[in-house]
Amino acid sequence: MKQEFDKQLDSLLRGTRGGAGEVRRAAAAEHLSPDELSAYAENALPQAARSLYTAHLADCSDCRRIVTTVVLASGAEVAREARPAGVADVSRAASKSSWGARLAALFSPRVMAYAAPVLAVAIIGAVALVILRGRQGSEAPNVAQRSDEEAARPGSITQPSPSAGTLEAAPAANIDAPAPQTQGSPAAAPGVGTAKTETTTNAPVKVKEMAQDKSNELADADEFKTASPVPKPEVAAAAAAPPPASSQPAEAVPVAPTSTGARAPAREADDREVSRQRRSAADNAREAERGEDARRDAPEPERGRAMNNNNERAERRVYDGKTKSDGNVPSETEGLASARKRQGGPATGGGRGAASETRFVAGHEFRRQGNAWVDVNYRSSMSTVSVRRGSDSFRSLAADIPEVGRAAGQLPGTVVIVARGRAYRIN
Amino acid sequence: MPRPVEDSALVARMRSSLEKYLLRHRPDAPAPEVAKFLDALHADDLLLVLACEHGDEAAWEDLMRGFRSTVLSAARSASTGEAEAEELADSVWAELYGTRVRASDGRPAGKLAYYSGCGSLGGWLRAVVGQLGVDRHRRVAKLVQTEEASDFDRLADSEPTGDGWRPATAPDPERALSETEAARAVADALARSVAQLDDEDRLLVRLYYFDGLRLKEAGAVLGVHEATASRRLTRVHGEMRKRVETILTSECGWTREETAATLAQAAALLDTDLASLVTSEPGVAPEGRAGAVEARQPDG
Repeated sequence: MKQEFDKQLDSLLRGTRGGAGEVRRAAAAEHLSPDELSAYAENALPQAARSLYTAHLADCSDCRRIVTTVVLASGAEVAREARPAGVADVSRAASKSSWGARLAALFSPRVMAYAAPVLAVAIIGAVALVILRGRQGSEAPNVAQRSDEEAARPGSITQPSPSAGTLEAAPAANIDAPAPQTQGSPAAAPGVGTAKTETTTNAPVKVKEMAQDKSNELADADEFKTASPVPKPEVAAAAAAPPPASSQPAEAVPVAPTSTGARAPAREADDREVSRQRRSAADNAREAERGEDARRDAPEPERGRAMNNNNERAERRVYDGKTKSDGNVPSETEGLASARKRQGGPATGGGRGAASETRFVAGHEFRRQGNAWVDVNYRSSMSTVSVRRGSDSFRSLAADIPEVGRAAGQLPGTVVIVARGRAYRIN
Repeated sequence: MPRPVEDSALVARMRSSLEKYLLRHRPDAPAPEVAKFLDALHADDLLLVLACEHGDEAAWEDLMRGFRSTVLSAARSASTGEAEAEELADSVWAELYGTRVRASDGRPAGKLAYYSGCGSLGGWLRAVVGQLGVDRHRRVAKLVQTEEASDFDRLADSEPTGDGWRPATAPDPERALSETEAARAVADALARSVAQLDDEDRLLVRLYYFDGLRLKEAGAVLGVHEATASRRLTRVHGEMRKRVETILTSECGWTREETAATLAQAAALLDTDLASLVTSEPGVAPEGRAGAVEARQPDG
């Protein structure tokens, strides 16, 4: 870095290159020896000797050139070699840091003074995280248990009827979805139908039943169109198969169409039950056929979306049902038998007559009330939005909430569906 | 590494160094200073050299292996080509190798005997190579005086034109003569002011302006930081200006205004000529030009 040089003088000196006044070149014998030059270049001379050589160098370009060469060539080496040997050895030894020295430096008190608090905070945070995760995991089954308890409490609006308990308790696949085979996800799965998933300990049984129920309904519907209304062998077998004794409590899965829920020990009662189930199955098949036709008539994107959403929701409901499972996986026939019994069971809601029906459409359970199909989750206190089929509002609503469109397409008449915390009345 | 060196030889060498560099200038140097000087000696290099002097082949191999690159690098700096550098390096090794202990009296007879251990062996070898290179250059090279005289000489010899100091025929010979004398006066004043500087200041001026070193390099030679060298040079400029003005006003009878004007004109002229010099001789380094100027000086 240059300070403020006298520019004029700087130019004059540069022009003369400082040669003005330089003494004649000294004789060879008067030049400094290599030892003197190297010692001077490395600043290793005592002050008195250095001053003497400085005077010579100031006037001798040859010696000055050699000194300059040595200085520029040695550079850092000159600085290093100028130090006493002892100091150089110590510095070299220090530079060769061994692993032991590195570890010692790493765990030195100075380092540990800062690292220890940080380490403690990190450990505490990790422990807290583990504890919190453990609590969350333990809370999930507790929540499920509480849901089950609430479902079992009398008076709960979501309390399934004794005849339809299993079907209501586990909202599984809808009519459009194939039988999902996947296992359940945690309780934090999307909440479609989770409010209805207050189940007994037979949740997996019910989910399986409902899935199989829907798939068989589809199959039955096809059969109705093409063949005689003869129930499929598995339907009959399922109807004839006794329910599992270990998985279904008597109050949840009635075997006999009586309010008491007692099993019909006699074969005549069983035959009557089977025939009634066949009739109801036929009715359901016709309903399914009408729903299928309605779906086919729906716009392609909407139907496709509906089908896709049905599949998704079916899986979710399966997940929801599976989360509360106790691991019992009933056979398909057992589940179908339970489903048939549920459908043939007495009506709920009081005073609706012996022909009350429940339908599972678009992931919702609807109960027939006169000419209307009402979502079981509907409350009179809910804000209700009325929408007419085919209107722009309906189309936009169906696009926004596909399950509304599916329910409206599959259920005749007025449909009251509860979705996203609001009730929609489809006329 | 242990060397087969007698203690007496080592002691003798150390005493010689002490006398040469400390006691000769300060016979009454205190013991701590003596101890400090002895501690600063490069003991390993000194032992290696002593072992080489006494014919230890292993020591010689260590010397060759450890400093071959240093010698070759220094030879390259002092040479114009690779072949010349290798030849110079071989010459150095030959001279060093030949300096073994004489069988007759066991006294050293070579350059190794002059290594005191005060500086490093590597630096000493570089100095040896540099000195041999200078000697070789003097014997071999034939320096031809370039067309460029010193700027002040040219300044003094040039004929002013109507525009100022230009090497052309002036219409007024009297004016030209006066201007030439003014230029010579300025050059002389400048030279005298440089000579009156302290040794270190003068060395700094030589290193920076004559040898073409950068300020950082000049400071390294002096053993000071670049900032220190810059401050010192600024101070030197001030001193020199005062001396030049004093000389011109007192001895030449110029007024202050005339002195200032003459210095400004001279500086402007030198700047212009320096630029033209650079463009006309792109391959000549400052050292080369310095060497060319130096060649005109008779050998001492």
